[in-house]
Amino acid sequence: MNNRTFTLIFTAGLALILLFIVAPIVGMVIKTPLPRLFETIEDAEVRNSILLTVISSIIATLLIAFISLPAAWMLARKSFPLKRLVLGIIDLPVVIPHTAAGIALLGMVSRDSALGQFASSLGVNFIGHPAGIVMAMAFVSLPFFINSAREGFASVPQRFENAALNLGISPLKVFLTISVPLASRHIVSGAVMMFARGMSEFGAIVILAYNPMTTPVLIFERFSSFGLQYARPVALLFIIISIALFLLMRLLTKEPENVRN
Amino acid sequence: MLEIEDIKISFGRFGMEGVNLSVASDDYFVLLGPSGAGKSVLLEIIAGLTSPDSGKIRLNGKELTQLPPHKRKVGLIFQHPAVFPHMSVLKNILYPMKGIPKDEKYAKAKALAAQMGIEHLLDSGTAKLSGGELQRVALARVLASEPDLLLLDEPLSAIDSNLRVELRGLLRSLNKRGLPVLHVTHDYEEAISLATTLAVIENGKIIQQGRPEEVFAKPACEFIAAFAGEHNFFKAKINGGKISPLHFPEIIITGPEGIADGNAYVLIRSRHVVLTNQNPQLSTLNNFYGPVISVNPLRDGFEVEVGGSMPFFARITRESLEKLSIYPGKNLWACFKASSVEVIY
Repeated sequence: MNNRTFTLIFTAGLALILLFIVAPIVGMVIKTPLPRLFETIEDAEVRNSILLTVISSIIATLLIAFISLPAAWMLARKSFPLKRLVLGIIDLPVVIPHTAAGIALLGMVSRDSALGQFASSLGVNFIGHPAGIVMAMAFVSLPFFINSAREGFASVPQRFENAALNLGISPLKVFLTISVPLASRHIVSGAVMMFARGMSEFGAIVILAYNPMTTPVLIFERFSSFGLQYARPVALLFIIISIALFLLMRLLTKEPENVRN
Repeated sequence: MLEIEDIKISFGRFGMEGVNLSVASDDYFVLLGPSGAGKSVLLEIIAGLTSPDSGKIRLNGKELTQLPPHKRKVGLIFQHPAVFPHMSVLKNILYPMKGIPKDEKYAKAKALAAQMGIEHLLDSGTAKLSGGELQRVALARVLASEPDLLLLDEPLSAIDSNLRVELRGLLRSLNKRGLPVLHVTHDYEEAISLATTLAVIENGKIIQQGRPEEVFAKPACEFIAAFAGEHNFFKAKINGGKISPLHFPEIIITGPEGIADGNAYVLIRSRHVVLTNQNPQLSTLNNFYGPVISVNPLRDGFEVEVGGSMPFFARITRESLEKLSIYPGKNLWACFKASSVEVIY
């Protein structure tokens, strides 16, 4: 096989993949008349669901980021027994079917479980509540954040942290002023991935909190109740918003950190 | 005063078996040894970044061994300066300062930068700085943390040779102002130039310790002997380009062009010293006449000591020894070029 044929085959493969991604979306754009799209934007149910989805995903991301950032640092820096097992457990949400994850979470927070009773005594109810949505989103998307942050911390040369400790700075302050800023690119990009993944979640949410409806659930609801014609504009609008947010966040993380010396 | 007592550590094939040393308060202590001798590990142990298997470290009477790194007050300069890339030079220097008002912090940072000659770089980022500039930022930053002891890990290895002399002067003056220094290096020139006390480490063990002249005059290991078996090594005063050894002030040696005045160590490698029976008509500017004091066999030839007003040592082969029929008591000339005189400030 000569070089040209080789390149041709590779390019053809790439073109096919791009077409596979872009064609359905373009088809959707063509089949959605503009007035229908504007009608959809004005539909309060749609607007509320988009707002709910975006805010829930932001809360889930911030919550996980806050709790797991130190853990990600520890996973990057320390070695301990069963570390591989721990890393495997963190990856678990990626490999289990999300509806199954939803069932598992439901079992954990249902009214007859200990956690469920405890939460409802505090006035928090996960089922059919935004708290359940946040929980489902956090569960299925946290590996994206932790793994990216862990990679980020691992890429920071340890001598920077050592130098800061040596200068008399406490470990917590070293973490906040040296480790986190130097790993910030990975951390932010992990957060963006987690946010995007959380927004698009359907399987776990539909089981834990069918109502209030996040946009993926609303799309499913409209499709199953009214058909393709009614689901399509909502789907298109949600895709546009997702892409816009994704691009915006990618722009924010563009500038590379210089770690030369 | 830093006291290190019986430090032991082992990992992999490397081991340190009971290192003892003490650095007095006014000492510039240089630990000289080949790569992999355990020098950096020892500094990391003192700084608390690596835990020893056993042993004790005390600084000014205070036990450091169990203290976390950020409470030890021992400033460490790494071989590759760990200047924080996400902060400006000024921010780097301000970073360790705690508990003083903001304007005082800035004034202190400026003073330190001036002392290191990097005042003009304060507002710049660190990405474009040279190795020497980065190392000076690291030094200013370490001094801003007001350490009780300065640990230097091959701090000059990544720096141009002309800048090295300048930085050495800087390090020496810091020490003279009362900061004890423990400096590790594999560079004998650096060791000679800076040490008030010199120790030699090999395979995780300190094998020799003393004033630099003592260590170099009686090398206790092959590593030192490789350059220190050199006996034409002495302190000298340089004035107007002329070198006079401190112990033989009447002798004048011509050194390479453009050497600076002042006190320095001088090294003339014995393989650069030429012996001849006749009055030499050579290009060498240094020619000394005297009797052969001794002929010592070496692994690869002989070392001949020629007396006269000052002893010089020449390394020659057996063939040359026989050709010149050299024996103790015979008078001959020892000659060497001005350019083979190494001057170490």
